[in-house]
Amino acid sequence: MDPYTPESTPRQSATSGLKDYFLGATPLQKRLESVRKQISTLPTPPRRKIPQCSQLQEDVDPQKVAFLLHKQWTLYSLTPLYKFSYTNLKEYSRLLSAFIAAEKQKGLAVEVGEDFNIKVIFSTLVGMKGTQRDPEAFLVQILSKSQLPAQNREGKVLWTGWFCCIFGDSLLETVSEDFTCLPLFLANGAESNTAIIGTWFQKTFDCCFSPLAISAFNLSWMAAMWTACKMDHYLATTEFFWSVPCSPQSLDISYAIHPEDAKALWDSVHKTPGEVTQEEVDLFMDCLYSHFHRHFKIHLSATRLVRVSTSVASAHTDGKIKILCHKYLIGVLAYLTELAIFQVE
Amino acid sequence: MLPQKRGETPETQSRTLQVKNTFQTSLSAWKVKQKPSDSKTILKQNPVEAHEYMDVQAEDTLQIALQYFEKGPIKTSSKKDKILEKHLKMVETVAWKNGLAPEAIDVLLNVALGGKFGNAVNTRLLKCMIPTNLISEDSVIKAVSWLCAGKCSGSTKVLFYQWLVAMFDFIDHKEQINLLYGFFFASLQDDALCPYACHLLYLLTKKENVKPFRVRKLLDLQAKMGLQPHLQALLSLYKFFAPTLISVSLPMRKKVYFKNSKALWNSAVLAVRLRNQSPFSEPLKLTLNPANFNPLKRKWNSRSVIPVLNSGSCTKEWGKKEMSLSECLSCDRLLPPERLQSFPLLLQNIHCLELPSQMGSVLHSSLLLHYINCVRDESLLLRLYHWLSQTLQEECIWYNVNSYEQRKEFTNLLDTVIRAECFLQEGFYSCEVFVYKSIPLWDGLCCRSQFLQLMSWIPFSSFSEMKPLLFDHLAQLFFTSTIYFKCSVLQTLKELLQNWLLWLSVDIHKKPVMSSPLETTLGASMNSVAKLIHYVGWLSTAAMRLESNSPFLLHFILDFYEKESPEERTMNISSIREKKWHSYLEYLFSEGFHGLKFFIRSSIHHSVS
Repeated sequence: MDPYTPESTPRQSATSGLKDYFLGATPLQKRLESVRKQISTLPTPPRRKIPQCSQLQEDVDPQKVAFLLHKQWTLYSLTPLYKFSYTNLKEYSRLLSAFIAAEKQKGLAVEVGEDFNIKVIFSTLVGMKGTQRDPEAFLVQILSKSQLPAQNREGKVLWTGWFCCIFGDSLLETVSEDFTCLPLFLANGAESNTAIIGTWFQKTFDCCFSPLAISAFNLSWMAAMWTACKMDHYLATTEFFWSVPCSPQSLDISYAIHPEDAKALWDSVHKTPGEVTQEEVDLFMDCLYSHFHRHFKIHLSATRLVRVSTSVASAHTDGKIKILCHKYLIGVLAYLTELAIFQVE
Repeated sequence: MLPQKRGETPETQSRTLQVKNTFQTSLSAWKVKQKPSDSKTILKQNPVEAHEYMDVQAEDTLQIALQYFEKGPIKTSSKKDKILEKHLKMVETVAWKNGLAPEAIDVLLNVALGGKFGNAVNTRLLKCMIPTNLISEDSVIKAVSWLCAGKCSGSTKVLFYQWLVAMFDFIDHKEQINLLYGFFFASLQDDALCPYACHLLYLLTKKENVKPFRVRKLLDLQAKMGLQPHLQALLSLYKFFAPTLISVSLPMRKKVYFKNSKALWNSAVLAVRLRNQSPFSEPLKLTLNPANFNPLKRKWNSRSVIPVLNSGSCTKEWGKKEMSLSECLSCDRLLPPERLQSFPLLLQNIHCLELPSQMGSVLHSSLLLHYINCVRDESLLLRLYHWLSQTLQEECIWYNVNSYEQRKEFTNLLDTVIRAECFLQEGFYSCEVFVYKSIPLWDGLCCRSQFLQLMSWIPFSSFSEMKPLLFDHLAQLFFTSTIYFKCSVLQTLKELLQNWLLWLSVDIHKKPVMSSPLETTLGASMNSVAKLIHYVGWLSTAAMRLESNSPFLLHFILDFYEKESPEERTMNISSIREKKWHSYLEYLFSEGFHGLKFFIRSSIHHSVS
């Protein structure tokens, strides 16, 4: 029924050396097959589900994940981690603290007064998964130890980063048990800390971080999907930002819509219940463009969509995201995980 | 003083050149020490073909500048300021670009601390005293001896101490400097020098330097000057070496003691470290302004792209607190990959080799490549696959803005990967995926030879599967490009065919008994090969028409058809020859009989001449 599944062709095995092992069912071969499928067919599925409040998320304590909301996260995609174990989190904390201290004190004695009493904490985030198959998400935080132990035990949080995987089935199938697939990494804090931690992970678990950029195409999908989400009350206006690269300074266009109007527009465009299709997204964006054109005579479709901001979340093309609504947290992360998996494959 | 070696060829000239008071070396000596990268940086600025000439000129001017400084200021004309300025600028540019050779540093240190020039000049000289790789201990000793002569001002002394602290790691030997410990200790008396002298002593101190009288002196100083962090640092270090000598309680909290006096040379120190540690990457171009990177693409470690070989000590099992005896005995026999130096060692330890923590580092080591070829460990190959595909994707220069340095790095990376593939005589999956992903965006010019080589190493698979992914795009590029590109592509396709036949031939020999349901028959494989030949025939026919029967192109086409590769002979399959001949006939009798006309014409031409 689905026209996009190709016939699974058996692979001719030219057996020698490396390839001797690969007969059909190995993860590496599956990976190659999936990549071939991906490239020769459409890069994105023509339809996606509107994010709903999933069953698993009902179990998540809103207090515990409140610190994930209203923060700007920088996105990275991550290849599978080798020999990562959830039981060794204390050990990892210890090693990472030592590594950070060593990095910061490289070359002996630096400025007076800078506090190097930092602590790293690894912890798991319960409930941040799409299906039961997804690996558990975990969180890394850098805290500064307070000078006097009598005062508040937990110091100030300097940096936060977390790894998660929501509905990552396509990636999970193609790796063996030694690997842990957590393709989405979100970081908040100083870039230097992200670099240090990223380097430690790369050295320890042989993974690769790469910055995840969100293209204008995906931003328009996000705008449509998040406008489609049912909300009780709207926290923020729906805003779009476009950028026109021209000299000497680029032109930035911002277009703000009342969220209820945006929802009304979406409802008029939306046909299939529970799903969003490519045509609907295109139609939604075209309506916005033509409205703008009628008033300002500027063709927004010729410019580059740079940022989208709704009551559910806001995303920037450089790979930055801020999630505002607790209800649709998993839905937003699911889309981002899909983008990350696409980049990793 | 010391006799100078003259009249020697560059090959025999010794590296440690003896320096005389009047510094004169032959030009060839500079050439020997000049790194090959220097010519490239000059080439970038001035894309003249004769870059060796530019090399000589650059060395020449530096040598003249050094000679000028050595001779001392000319008291005659008022033009001396301009000349001085010119030479200073020359030295500064060379220093910040590539660093100064140890001999140059020797000369300049003597000049700066010898008091021949004024304070301002000395300051500038010290600030630009950046080594290429290392600083010789003798120059430091000589410089310190100048300090005793008291020819330079107080501020120059302070700057010199700061410089010593910043460049401490690059001094090649420190035994003799350690012998001067007493001298440095005595300079603690000077209030202005005290913090920097403390820092220097902190770096220099060894256990035998800690003597009771020194401890007493430090405590006196502390009593006089109060709780100074730098004195505390030195005291805590002394306490660490000889806890019995010091009874004063020191704060246990490990604070940081010293002012960052290296601020002036921070970027320079980083660059020198990079030069020293990574022989594979390009020498870093130093700029006094921070380079503005594309924020998305900033690399976390600006070292070479391929990770350094590190033993995977972190991935051992921690949870097990109690290990059985046998485990203990087997554990400590693991050979870390850095110790793997020779092939016999690999053979002896092949069962207990510790894998590197980052699989990407195997690309540089041929021994480890042997290892992964033999060991059928899937997770190993998956790790390599992931790392290589991510790296190729990120570094690919036609996905994003490419600067000159990024292009060089990417080309180097591709060269390394191709070398590894040639060594293993088969291609990596990640490269295949990379080719599929990037060929629609490729312009045919960027890294052409490397990309085509990657293509020729694509592992054998069904032609019809590969056609929409690779061959259609390739055909588009082929028809719209120059004749040289066409010839390169034909060459690549010939190599691809050879590689495929090689694997198939090995397959045949290995095949005998097992026939897995997933393996297809020999006939299907040969079908794929035949389709490739047909594809090349189609390309050649069209190309000949486009290029109006150019003999250059014809040479490559006939090369594909005529040369019988040894793989074909081992296969002992005549069908390939038949297919080739068939395609050739198609060409000869193609529309308009152009091929046939050309063939006849050239035969007549040959028979006549």
